[in-house]
Amino acid sequence: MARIVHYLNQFFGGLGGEDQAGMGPVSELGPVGSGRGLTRFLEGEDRIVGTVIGGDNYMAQGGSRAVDEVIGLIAGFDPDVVVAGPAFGSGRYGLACGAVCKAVIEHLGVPAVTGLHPDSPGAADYRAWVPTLATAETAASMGTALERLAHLASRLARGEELGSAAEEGTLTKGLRRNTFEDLRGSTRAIEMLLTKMRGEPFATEWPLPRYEPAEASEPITTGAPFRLALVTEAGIVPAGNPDRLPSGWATDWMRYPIQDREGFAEGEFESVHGGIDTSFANQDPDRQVPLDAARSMEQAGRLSLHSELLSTTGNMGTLRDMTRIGAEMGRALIADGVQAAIVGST
Amino acid sequence: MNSGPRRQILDVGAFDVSDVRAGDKTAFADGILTINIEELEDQLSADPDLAAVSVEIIRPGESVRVINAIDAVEPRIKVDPPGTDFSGLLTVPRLVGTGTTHALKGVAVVETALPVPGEPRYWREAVFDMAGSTAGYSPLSELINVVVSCEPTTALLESEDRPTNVFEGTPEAVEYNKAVRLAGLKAARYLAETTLGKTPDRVDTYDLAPSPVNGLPAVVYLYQLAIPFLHGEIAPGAGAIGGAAHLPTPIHPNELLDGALVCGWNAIACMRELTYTVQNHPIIEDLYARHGQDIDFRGVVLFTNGDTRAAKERLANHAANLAIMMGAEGALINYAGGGHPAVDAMMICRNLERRRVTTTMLSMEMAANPGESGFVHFVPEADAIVSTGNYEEAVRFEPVERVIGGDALIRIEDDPSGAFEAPLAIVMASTHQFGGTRIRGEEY
Repeated sequence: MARIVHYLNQFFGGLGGEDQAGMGPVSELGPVGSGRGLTRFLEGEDRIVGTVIGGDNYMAQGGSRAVDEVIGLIAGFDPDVVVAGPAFGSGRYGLACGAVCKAVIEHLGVPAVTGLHPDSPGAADYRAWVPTLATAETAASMGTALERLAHLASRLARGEELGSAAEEGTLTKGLRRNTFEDLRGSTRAIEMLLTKMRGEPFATEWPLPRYEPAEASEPITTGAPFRLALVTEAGIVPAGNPDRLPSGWATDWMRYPIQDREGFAEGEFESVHGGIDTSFANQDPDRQVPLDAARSMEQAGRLSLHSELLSTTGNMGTLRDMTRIGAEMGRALIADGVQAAIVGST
Repeated sequence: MNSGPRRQILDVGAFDVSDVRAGDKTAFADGILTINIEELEDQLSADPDLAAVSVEIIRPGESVRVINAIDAVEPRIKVDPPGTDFSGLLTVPRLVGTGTTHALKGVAVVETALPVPGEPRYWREAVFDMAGSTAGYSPLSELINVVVSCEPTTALLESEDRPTNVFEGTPEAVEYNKAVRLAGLKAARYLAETTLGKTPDRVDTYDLAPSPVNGLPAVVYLYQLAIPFLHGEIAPGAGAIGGAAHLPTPIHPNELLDGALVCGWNAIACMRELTYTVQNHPIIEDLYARHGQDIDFRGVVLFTNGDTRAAKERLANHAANLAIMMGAEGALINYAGGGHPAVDAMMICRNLERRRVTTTMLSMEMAANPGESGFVHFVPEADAIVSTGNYEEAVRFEPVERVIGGDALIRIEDDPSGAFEAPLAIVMASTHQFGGTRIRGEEY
């Protein structure tokens, strides 16, 4: 018999809607809410020994402390496997399911599984660590999702290794590795081309990255002077690179004070970007980040320049890291009252 | 008047080699290639840029690692018309890709050369193993290799020139590398001479005559060159990476198979355009094999890459035009590797798709960690890509009994005979852009 613990949010746990989203985690014996549906599909004597319920907002705002509270309650049931959700396409709930499962696997050493829509934020952040059943976007597909989750949970509880994502209907980890095919690449290319020419379904071996569309902000209507920040991915740093910003694969970003500068002088700032010829930027970093021009416009009363340069290196940056860095920079600038930013690119 | 299409037919007489041995007389009989090593070494040592040349035979399964590799060449000789071997290099530029060529199959001549000052070293590391888990990555590991190891003169080793052209190196270094490559080509011709007057095991005929079957999908191959050294010269026009772009050129595939294009510089080993790979070009071979069966193969367009936006637009428009002029309904495009070339290859894909030519690309991946996509550039139209493997993935080299090609690796400090970890990038032709290997990247 496998001991299963089920994690749910306040809504699917039957404790209320958005009005209860701030509730801290609670535990109940046995199955609750959608857990009763899950019970119908469990194999043999497998059963849900307990349910832990966390409020969407509490989990979203509580960070690792909130997850720790949930883990403490889950550990009290001594589970063989943890099932979270399914959360389908939902944002906060899906992120909580992913975070809880990852912590269960890492801190309790117990297998965990969740069910999420491939495009949900939780899938993006946790698919690399958490076995995740690919679900439809809404709870209308609850029945099928529960049946398949029950099956996956039973097998994980028995210590079975899951097969490939395609075999299991789970999400891939979103990682890539080398493997060997039966046919050589040239032959596969011809087969793919002929299939595509016939209008039949074909599967690219290297899917294009998916970019979320970046929507343009509304024009600034407050009039001059508006607050402008200078941002760059060109790896512009003080000479000598005191913070060791990497020349590629950056995972972090820097802030450098520029309020006392009329422009960037050669030898005081430099570019550490490893993917371009930096000699022109090093001769005059204003070519990369137009501080001199912005300053003269400030003196003309047309804008008010933010006191810091925000800098990272875009070279070889992963989409995931750069998306996060962009969001972090954006939040920091908004917090400082900045209305607009110029991103000097390479 | 003599009517009908004028045809260009190449017959390659294939001689299967089961073993290569050292002996008193260089000869080929009953599948055994015998080499008088001393005679071959003497012939190759005559070049004033080389202080010494030594020749060794290595076979699949032997515990050997080849380092400082430069190129690999299939032993071939032009029977008809004679005297056109590696046109432009061993002979004056003449028409190739027609008549008869003999080839020793299952064998490659591999040159190794110690690096000299003034040589660009960023990409030069090139290694392959004949046994162990890493042997599965290089096509050369499956061949019997006649390794021609070249040593530079003392003057070359002591020169301190810094290159002005970081892609090619100093004139002395360029000359030395050319001498090494010529030694490989000469050795290839010398070995294939043993087949003259003999009957091949089979004859492969390459004939681009119009498909006898109507209505087959018409396919053009757009070949992105990393190394535009055609007939021994940078051609057509100027160079690609690090130079001005020239316009794409239509070319008869037989020319490429028959020695018109040889490896010209030391690109990253995994994507180096080995002469052997071009002589046995997987895409061209596969298209020919199906020409008139389920494909109407219309020929090849060579292109490189622009170094400005305008040059890229011009090049990508012209490449698509040529393919369409040749009747393409479908197109295969390979990406040569590197940063700039990715943009041109993707632009051509976009241009062709917008003009209703269906495309499939072949591309190596470069992702230093498994969570990133590895794309340099992409267009939404590139929805059909065959991956030829991620060359940034690290592989574990196992200890070997013997190392050929020097005492030290270039950028890796470990003992070259020992165990070390390095990206697949340093393994010869491991993720090469013509899809000749079975490796690919997959999402998991």
